[in-house]
Amino acid sequence: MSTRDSGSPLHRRVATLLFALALLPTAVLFLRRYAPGDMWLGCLVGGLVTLLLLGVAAHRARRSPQTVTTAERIVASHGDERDRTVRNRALASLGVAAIPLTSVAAVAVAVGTPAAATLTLLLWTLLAVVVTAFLRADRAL
Amino acid sequence: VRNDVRQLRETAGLSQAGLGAALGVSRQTIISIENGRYDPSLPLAIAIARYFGRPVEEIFHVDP
Repeated sequence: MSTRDSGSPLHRRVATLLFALALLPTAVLFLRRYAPGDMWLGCLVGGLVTLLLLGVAAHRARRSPQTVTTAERIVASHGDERDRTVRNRALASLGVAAIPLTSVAAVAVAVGTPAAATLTLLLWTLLAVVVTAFLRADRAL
Repeated sequence: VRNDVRQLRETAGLSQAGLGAALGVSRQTIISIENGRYDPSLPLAIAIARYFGRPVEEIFHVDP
């Protein structure tokens, strides 16, 4: 009676990978044409690094599921019920923090703070919140 | 909820990883259950009880 994720079927994983591989160059081309500066380059590098990390995590989780971290098991869809609890707590914290943080950012932009800098700060703050919440939940459980 | 999982596992001569593999959960989950930091779901608690051949209430005890 396992409570581990059975993992998505192979065809779904392949479809997700193909979608990601198609989305990345599309986004890069879109940003290169319409976005200012070198946003396209940041998107390309960030996207490739993310895909690489996801691939490494999935490979490690499949090869040695007992030695990988909670995050790796979740990414690879091999998480069990404790892993899902950790993930849900982190996402709940993110949701609770997102509303006031977004409100503060909106007010800041409204009173004249540069929008690009405010949105960048908001994004990094939200990332910090979810990572911190995940680590805290993982240690607590 | 307190539990006797560690004692039963050690009596059976199992490692945490071995018990985790038998139950389909990670070693980390077994560690958390044994330390009382994580209360398993009902299906997992029943799986643990069946694995050791005992009733659930003999393994998991509600704190007074």
